[in-house]
Amino acid sequence: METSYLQILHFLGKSGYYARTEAEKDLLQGLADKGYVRTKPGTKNIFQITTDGENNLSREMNPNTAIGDQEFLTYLKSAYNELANPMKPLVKIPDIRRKLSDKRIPDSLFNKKVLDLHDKGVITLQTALSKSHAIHGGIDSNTGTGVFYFMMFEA
Amino acid sequence: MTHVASLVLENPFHNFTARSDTPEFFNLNRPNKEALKHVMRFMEIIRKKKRKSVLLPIIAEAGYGKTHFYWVLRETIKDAYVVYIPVPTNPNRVYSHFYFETIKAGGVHLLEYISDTLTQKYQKVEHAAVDFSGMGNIVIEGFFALKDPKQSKIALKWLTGFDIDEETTNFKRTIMDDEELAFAALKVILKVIDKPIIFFVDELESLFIALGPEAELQFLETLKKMHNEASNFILCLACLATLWDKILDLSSTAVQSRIEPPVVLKRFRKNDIQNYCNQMLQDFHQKFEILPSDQKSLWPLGKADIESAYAYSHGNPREAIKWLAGCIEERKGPLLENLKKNQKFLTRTGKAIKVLADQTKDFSTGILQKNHGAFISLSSSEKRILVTVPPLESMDEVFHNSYESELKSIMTTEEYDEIVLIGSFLEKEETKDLKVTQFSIEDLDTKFQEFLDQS
Repeated sequence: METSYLQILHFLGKSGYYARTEAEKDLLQGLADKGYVRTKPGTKNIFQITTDGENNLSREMNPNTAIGDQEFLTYLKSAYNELANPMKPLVKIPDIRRKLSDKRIPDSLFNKKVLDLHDKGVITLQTALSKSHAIHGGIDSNTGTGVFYFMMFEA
Repeated sequence: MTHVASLVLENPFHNFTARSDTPEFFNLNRPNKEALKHVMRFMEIIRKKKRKSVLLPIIAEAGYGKTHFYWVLRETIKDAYVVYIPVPTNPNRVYSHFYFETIKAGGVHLLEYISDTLTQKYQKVEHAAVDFSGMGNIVIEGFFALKDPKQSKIALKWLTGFDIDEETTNFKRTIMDDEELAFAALKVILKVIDKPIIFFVDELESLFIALGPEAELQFLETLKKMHNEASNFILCLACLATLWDKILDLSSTAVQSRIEPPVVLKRFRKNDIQNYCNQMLQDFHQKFEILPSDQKSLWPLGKADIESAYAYSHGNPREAIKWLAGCIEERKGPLLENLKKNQKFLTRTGKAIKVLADQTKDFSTGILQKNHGAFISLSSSEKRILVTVPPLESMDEVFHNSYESELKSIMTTEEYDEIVLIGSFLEKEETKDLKVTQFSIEDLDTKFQEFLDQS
């Protein structure tokens, strides 16, 4: 459903899409929370697709599911190194996702590979303050630990 | 005999949250190694007086062992004093909070040490005046008064925060209400004390969560002043990883530039979970009188529990411990049943042997019953016989080692002419080449009785 709306918004471009029902408004607000759409300046219910939304759409429409573990690790490391610094060794997962958006890795595959790397001890994931961060690009671990929101390359 | 019910109800993993007032006796080296190395490196720098103070953040998500790390520091670092500082509830009262927490940790001994050192070095308060000019002089007057028999009681009250306005006019300002004076007192302690102090400030994020960014900012600025003006300490700032970025961003560049790069606490690996289990189960095994074999070292847990604890927790120590506590809870029922059955079996068999021995001959009988077996000594004027009953087969795997060990111990302390084993095998080397006779439980009323008749 979300992908379909992103496609519509993609075709409508700058003119944007007018959300008519409460259900549509909720759905588009959810996409706005993820950073994939935004309201058109000066309006309340007209939504436009963002660059992150375009990248996500491209990932969903033309996903790169054949990415190997080593290739993924190389991309991840490079994105991490660009974003981390000694004072802030933990990098937000949504920022890494954004950095790797041109690689067209579907979110589900990204989450799976990142969780695998954590469990193998290659990277360390750390949780968000609350589960609500999951909708902002965290990784729901489906276990006792909650939602992973930060990562670092030091297990 | 150990009372089974009371033992089984205890869960060795019941405590999954470290507290500053409850010592933590386990220390897994690997997860804390890196952080400890950092603290020790800075300790060395402070000791060599290359730097006077260090602000070292220690960050990790909830349950990674930040408060536990305080106990690791306390247990490991011997050339420094480690003082736990919960974040103050009021950002306007930071120094008095630090001062009183230090006094609480050091007790009267600390005050006496400072007082002794000052009086030995300067003899008279006037001689120390230049070294502690300003507010410091009010404080050292208190420390000198502590050595004066006439004033020591009142000085002790003053130094520990009492308001003594009504008792004397000698001490006009109170440390409790005077941040400036509290800071001066803290500086005096840090200057005179023989080793550096590691202040472990726990839950740095609390002020941010409870009172907002202004309160946190104020707290950090106060720490900056302490970092600038006091010496001989490391401030470990334990903070939730989630909020570290925010706290760092809101602090001034002056504060940021003084803070060391944070140390991130490590999570558990599967091996760490296993080592933790081994450490925590030691007491548990002792209470059950178990000497577990390598294969049973995790009893009543197994390797599969370690795997599932890791899979569930993704290495978060607190979540892993919670999982293990759940595993133990699940096993309590069947475990209790088996232990009760085993004890009933040992009691019943021991009693039966005693009755038979009493009926057959004039033996003096002594029974030692434990979870891992029953040992019955039968002594007549001619010979001494040791009758042993190993645990039930269902518990044999768990109790086998301790049964053997108990038997060895009895054999080395007591002299027996013969050993009778009811129900199981016994290795020859454990018997000191004594004659071993073996009967099954079913043989008790027939063959065993015949044996007693002949003895």
